Amino acid sequence: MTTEPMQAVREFILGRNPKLDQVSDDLDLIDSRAINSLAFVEFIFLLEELTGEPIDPEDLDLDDFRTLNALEARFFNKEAAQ
Amino acid sequence: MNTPWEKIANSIEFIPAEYSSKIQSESVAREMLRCETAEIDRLVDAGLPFENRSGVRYFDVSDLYNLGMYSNKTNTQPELAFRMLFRFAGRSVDDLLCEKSWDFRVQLECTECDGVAPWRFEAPDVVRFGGRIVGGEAPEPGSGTAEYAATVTTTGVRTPLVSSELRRLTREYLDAGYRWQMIPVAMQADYELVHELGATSCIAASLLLAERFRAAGYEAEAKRGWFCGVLGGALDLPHACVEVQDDDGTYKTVDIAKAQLAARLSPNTGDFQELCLGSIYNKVIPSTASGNASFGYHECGSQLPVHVRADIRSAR
Repeated sequence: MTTEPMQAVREFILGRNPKLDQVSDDLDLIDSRAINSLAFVEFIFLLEELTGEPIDPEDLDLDDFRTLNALEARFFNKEAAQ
Repeated sequence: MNTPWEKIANSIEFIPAEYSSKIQSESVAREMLRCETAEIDRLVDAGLPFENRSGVRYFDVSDLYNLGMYSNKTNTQPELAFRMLFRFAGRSVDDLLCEKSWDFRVQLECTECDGVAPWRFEAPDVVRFGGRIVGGEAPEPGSGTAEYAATVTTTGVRTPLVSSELRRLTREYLDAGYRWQMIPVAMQADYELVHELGATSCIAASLLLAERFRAAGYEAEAKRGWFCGVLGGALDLPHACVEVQDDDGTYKTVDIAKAQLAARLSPNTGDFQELCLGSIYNKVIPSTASGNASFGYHECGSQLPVHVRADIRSAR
């Protein structure tokens, strides 16, 4: 059920990082700059589109964006994260 | 509706050479503006300043921000960033008047440090506006880097300007037609130049308005601070407002540039714009730094300014 949106997330990251062949589930997306500050807002809009829910920019925690695993838990599989 | 890049280039003021730092490569420019090389060529032909290093064109990030912001393409990164940023301005004002706590962390970096020396950090200054700080020890003398960390609680208070003269001067500024632009901090201190160009920005606007308040006989000073909840710290926006003693003896804050920017970026922000004219709201952490001063200094003797990077997150 969560495969499709996570595939879109992977495609977004790969599309903005032509030198990356793949994105491992535990790659630190912030420290590696796979998602840089320029792409960050665009990425949030993508997550809103995929989840169908608004994201309050005031409540963002960068740790929620650090890895694909963290993203999936925070945005696409909330029950599992609890 | 797409606006041709040439028209946009003609409508904004590019950062003058003495304040420009062309470090963003053409690939970044394409990404920010969501355009192709041919469109970058058109922008360069229309006057976008650049430097060519090893066959690669480099641009000033403020120029790119301003082009994107005023492009009306709807999909440039600056447009998306500001649309996200100013969502809050259309919400209930009550949200901006309640207590709010922030995990506040600042890293100071002396890039060409000459050794161990005292640090000076212009700390958050929220207590006199009803807020509080937990933690926040001044950095110990050291070299290279230092950190300041605290939990800062801000709160809002509705205290609109009561002086008709202060209101007149504020309205006069807002009606003058200056256009908000992203401008490097050093250039913002040159507020006469910024306004001569027909532009405005938080620091430049606050310095000019404070001067006009003082000329009218009021005690006023532009003060720097931090605008909070900015995408988890991913977007670092300079912030400043004017602190002025009103006719009722109370110090008020006038956040003139945010009022102007909200009006441009988002309809239905009238309540927020009014809040900017005297009231305190919880998304701003004022500091002890004056309008055009740095937040941090290191007394090692290095001639280079200290880099100050803030990470401010809503406390959970």
